[in-house]
Amino acid sequence: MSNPPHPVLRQWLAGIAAAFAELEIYLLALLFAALLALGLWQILSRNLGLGAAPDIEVLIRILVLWVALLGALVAARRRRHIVIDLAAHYLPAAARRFTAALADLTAALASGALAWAAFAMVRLEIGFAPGADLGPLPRYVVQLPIVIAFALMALQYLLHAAASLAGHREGTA
Amino acid sequence: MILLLLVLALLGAPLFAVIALGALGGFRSQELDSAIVALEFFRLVDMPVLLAIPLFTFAGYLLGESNAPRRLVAVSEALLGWLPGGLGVVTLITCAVFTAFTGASGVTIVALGALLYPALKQAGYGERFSLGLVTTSGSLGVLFAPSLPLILYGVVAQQTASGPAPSIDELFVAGILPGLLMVILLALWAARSTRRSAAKKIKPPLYATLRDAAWELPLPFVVLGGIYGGWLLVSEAAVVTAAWVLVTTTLIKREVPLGRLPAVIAEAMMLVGAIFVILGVSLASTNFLIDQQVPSRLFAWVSALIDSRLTFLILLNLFLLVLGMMLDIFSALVLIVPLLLPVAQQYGIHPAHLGIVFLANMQLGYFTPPVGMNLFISSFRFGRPILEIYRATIPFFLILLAAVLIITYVPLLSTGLL
Repeated sequence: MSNPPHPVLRQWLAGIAAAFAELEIYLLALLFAALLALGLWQILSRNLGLGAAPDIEVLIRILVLWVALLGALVAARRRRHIVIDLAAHYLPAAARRFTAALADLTAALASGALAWAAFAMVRLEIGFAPGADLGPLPRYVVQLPIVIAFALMALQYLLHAAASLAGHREGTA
Repeated sequence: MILLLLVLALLGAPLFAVIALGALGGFRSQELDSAIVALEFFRLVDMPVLLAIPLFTFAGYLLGESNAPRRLVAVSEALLGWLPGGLGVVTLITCAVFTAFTGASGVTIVALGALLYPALKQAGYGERFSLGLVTTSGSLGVLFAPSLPLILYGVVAQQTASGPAPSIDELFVAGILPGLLMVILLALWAARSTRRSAAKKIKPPLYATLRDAAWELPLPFVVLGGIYGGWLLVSEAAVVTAAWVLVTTTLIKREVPLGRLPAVIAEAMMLVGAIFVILGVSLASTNFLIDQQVPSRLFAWVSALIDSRLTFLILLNLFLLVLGMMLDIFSALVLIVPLLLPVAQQYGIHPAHLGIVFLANMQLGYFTPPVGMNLFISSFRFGRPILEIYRATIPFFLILLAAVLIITYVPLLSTGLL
């Protein structure tokens, strides 16, 4: 049997996790603020006759995707993704621990597979159309956050699964 | 494989994971590259109207953090408190407006229930009536603009309809009469119950409440006036709403400290992220199902069993009611509409009418025993046993069931204003 991690190491890991969680929140706030600012700028420029700015329109759509991915990552950390969760109402507590771990492992598997699929998409993009742009950015740059977000979600759900099995289920489903 | 995925979903696996595994497995069985699933997900970036969803959601959450719900209740009381069943009607109207801005995520019961449930009891309404009314009102308003489910139905319908699909502003119009029908029927019931319980009428001063809510009251007019006046697109109306609410709650009213904003944004974007990942992977699963001609095979199967439009609508109601009990509104929309819409169109059902019928049923499903989500939220929020909540909601359920049937069989209610 492996020994539990040293308290200092555990504290250090918890500190990294908390810092990472905080970083997520502030990055999300920053991206959202940019989204709102660009949206306002677009309305003003259209209504004040400053001319259309096609790059801003595309940038807004890109930001919507990135904000949603970051939101999904936070939702994974807090176990707030949409679930049916009928079993939780009827199963005994002991069984729920295992069904929760199974649910988390399913989410980890799906997230990992999605990250891999997104990585394949980025590789295809770079291989076949390296110069293709989406507004002001290369397409693969817009796609890369999909790989990163799903890879981090996979990792997060693996940690949740371990916590579920150990009987430390945090967050809400 | 489908059975395994279904079991995993029932055991609590996130729906995006279940749908993603289905789509990945489906494409793999056809020996196609998994990158297709990611490319379908990436189509989210091609949908400009999606901008409306994070911005309206943020505005709703921020309003919920402020004292706006309290002011909304006060204004409604001052304006409508004189009616028979005054506070009951106030509850219906305020919940409908609040849900229209926040989506039917249970947040209405949490945010407004705390204000309205004690107020109703204090005004002399019975315990059971008050519980039933607040629980029922928690999902009222999904048919009113700018509700997120209406926007999401528009997005999905535009991806899957055969022929022209209704635009989102058309859907906003389509929801008006059916939504009003539901509010009016419930208001009549509230008025009747008031007479029986001899509830007291409480009427705060009109001028003071209007002045207090002066920054929130123009909001619906800005949103709807902007869209139908032709000045704003739906996504632009969402930008204006978010900016308006941000400025009024943080800078003018100063009810939400600026330092709290990142947490509010995170809370709102979690819902957006959860909806978008389901929508993204559903684009892939829908593509696979269409590629396998599932909608046309489904129609062939259904039309062999059902030859009339009326029977189809009856079975549709039953199906959607059960679906609404099991699935939340957003997942149901992205999963079922792509399959249902082509079949319904073959029966001559207008896509806007289908959308309204779909959402009206889902709204009912939210508090259909035994597993409607709002029943559990209400039981938790008000600390009452779930069986008591079941009993309290039965009359309201029957009234809204009648409304849903009228909405289903009188398509003109949904399409008459288009």
